[in-house]
Amino acid sequence: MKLAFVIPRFATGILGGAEYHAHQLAARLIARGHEVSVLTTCAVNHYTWDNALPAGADSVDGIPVHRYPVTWPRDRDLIGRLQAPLDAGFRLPAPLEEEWVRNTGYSEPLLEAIDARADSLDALIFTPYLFASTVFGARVRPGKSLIQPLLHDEAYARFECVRETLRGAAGILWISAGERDVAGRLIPGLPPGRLVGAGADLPAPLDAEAERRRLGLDGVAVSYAGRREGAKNFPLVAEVVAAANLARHRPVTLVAMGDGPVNLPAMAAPFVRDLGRVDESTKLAVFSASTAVLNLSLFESFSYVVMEAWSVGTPVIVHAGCAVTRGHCEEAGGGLWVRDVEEGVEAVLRLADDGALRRRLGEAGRRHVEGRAGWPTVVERMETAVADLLRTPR
Amino acid sequence: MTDEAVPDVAAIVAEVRAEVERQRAAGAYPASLLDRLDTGFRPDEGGGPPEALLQIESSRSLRSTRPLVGGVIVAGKKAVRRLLAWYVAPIAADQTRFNIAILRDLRALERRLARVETPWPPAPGMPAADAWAGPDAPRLVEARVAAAAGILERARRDPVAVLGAGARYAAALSSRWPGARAVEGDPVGWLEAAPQASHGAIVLAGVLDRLSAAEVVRIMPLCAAALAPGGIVIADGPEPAGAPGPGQGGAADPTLRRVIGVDTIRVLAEAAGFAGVDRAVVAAGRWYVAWASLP
Repeated sequence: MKLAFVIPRFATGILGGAEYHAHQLAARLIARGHEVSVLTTCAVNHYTWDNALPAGADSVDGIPVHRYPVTWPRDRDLIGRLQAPLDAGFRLPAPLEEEWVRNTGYSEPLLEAIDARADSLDALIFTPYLFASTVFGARVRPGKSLIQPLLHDEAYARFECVRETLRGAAGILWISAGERDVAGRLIPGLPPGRLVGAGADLPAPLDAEAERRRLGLDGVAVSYAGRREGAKNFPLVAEVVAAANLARHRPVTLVAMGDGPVNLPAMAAPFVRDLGRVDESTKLAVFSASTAVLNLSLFESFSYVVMEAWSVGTPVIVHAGCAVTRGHCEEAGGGLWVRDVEEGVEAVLRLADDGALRRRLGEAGRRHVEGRAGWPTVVERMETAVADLLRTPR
Repeated sequence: MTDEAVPDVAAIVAEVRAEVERQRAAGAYPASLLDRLDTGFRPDEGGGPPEALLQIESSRSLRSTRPLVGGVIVAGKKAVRRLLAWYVAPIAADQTRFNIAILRDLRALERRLARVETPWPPAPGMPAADAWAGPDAPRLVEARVAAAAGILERARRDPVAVLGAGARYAAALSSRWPGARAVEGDPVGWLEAAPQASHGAIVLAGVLDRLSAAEVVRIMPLCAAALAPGGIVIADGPEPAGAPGPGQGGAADPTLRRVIGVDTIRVLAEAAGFAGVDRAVVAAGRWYVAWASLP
């Protein structure tokens, strides 16, 4: 197959689920003999959308990449004014919703390239759903456009322009059953879709105790990986750990990894070891040395962190309000879901005190990654889904 | 259930929830603590300072990418906007004035909070570390120094830094433990600058109850970093059960003094990696001395 992924940013060092997912799929499809390229913008920062990289052809880890300049500079004042009502839960008039999207890296040359290349491709795969490259790009040649939305329940998923684009695409590639269910509820009339999922690699078995010694972790340690921001519910993770120490008087340490300034409740600070940005092997080592990995985000369309924790046999604790991560736990049996600080504390302590249960959940998660969430299975599903959806008459 | 079966995690979640109910009923989760921990969602990404959003414009720039008709549409919208300006512009101006007033008050609150959160060194007119002791101050200092010296004698760790001590305490401790070095000024700042593993013992002499909440939670990890393996930290302060309450004894602002109990010290010390937290009560139960050591 000849495929092109269309994604707003794509470069080494960009941390984000969509970028990681596209990178993994593109590389693995190339390895299986498909002709795959990536069409993207010159932007790196998704707050400024400045053209940071040169336009033209490039290669990222062997994946051919074509970059086009952003031609609609971000109007920060306007976005600031639009963001406030959105954050407060209000809908914007449809033209302003489109204006918001247009301020997320709109590139006229990218749209022209999509049009020019579409005839030579079997399919264009757009991801994620809410940026200009997808909302405007997938309208250029909708008959060849498949969208991998990576959608969760948020204001942008209700934008009229987003709905219009998703409804007009040739098909949808879902990353999780939870994502599919949320999208079906928010956007009636979607085109046919296939559940593709996402994968995780099983690393070589790690010696958890050796990792604990190497990292200097004593007692109960739980870990978090990802952007340390409110939108990821990181403060709740810190509150759980602080409450375990201060309310239940159990020494629990949170090992935090990832980008972004760490804004913690003052009382939580002593119980947090901030490792900042770490490489993949360190992250997995910390996960394996942890009693549990906490991901209490409400906004997930898949959550690689959950799969990575399971890949090293560590159970996860997720938020009960996140259909996707909770769905993972229900399906695999590799984790628990909590609703608030107290449940978070008791879940951590339960796993800390019951080693047999912890191992059983971790093993169940690992089996899930080995089977249903293994990359070979995911790539095969992707190939079948793309072929099916392009054949399906609309 | 076989080993290969998917664990019934819903049942375990139900057990966790039942345990939460038991713990809540037993008072393990006081609302005051949870309220203090609660930060809610605090997105820290993007967005400029609030000043950037202060000014409410009654119009925003009009653009159209539609060929030919775009210019007509923009001209039409501009005309409508001009016709409605008599109504919209005063409302926008009122909103801007309101925003300015709110932001001014917010900034004032931030400044007041900053003053409350940074009480060190004590402002002019504020009580000294041992002011609560009143006329018994010399005897209280002697009792505290005797307790600290006894602990140092048993631990035998050098060098020793004494933070927060008044001149009387520093002189008394130096006479009993000649290696002790009194540090004047901000203890937290000194600890932040101290080289790692550079000390054998750190004495926090009446320090904890004069720190802000944010400093209280930072000081034990800072001590742990400044101490060599096996190093010891000694902290003393007014015994909660025996001391006058905050705000009494001449304190100008009760929020500037808080009583730190030994239980809190134990949690903070253990979380920072200390072990074997122990305590003694001195001065007829009015003062505690707690100590802990690194493995």
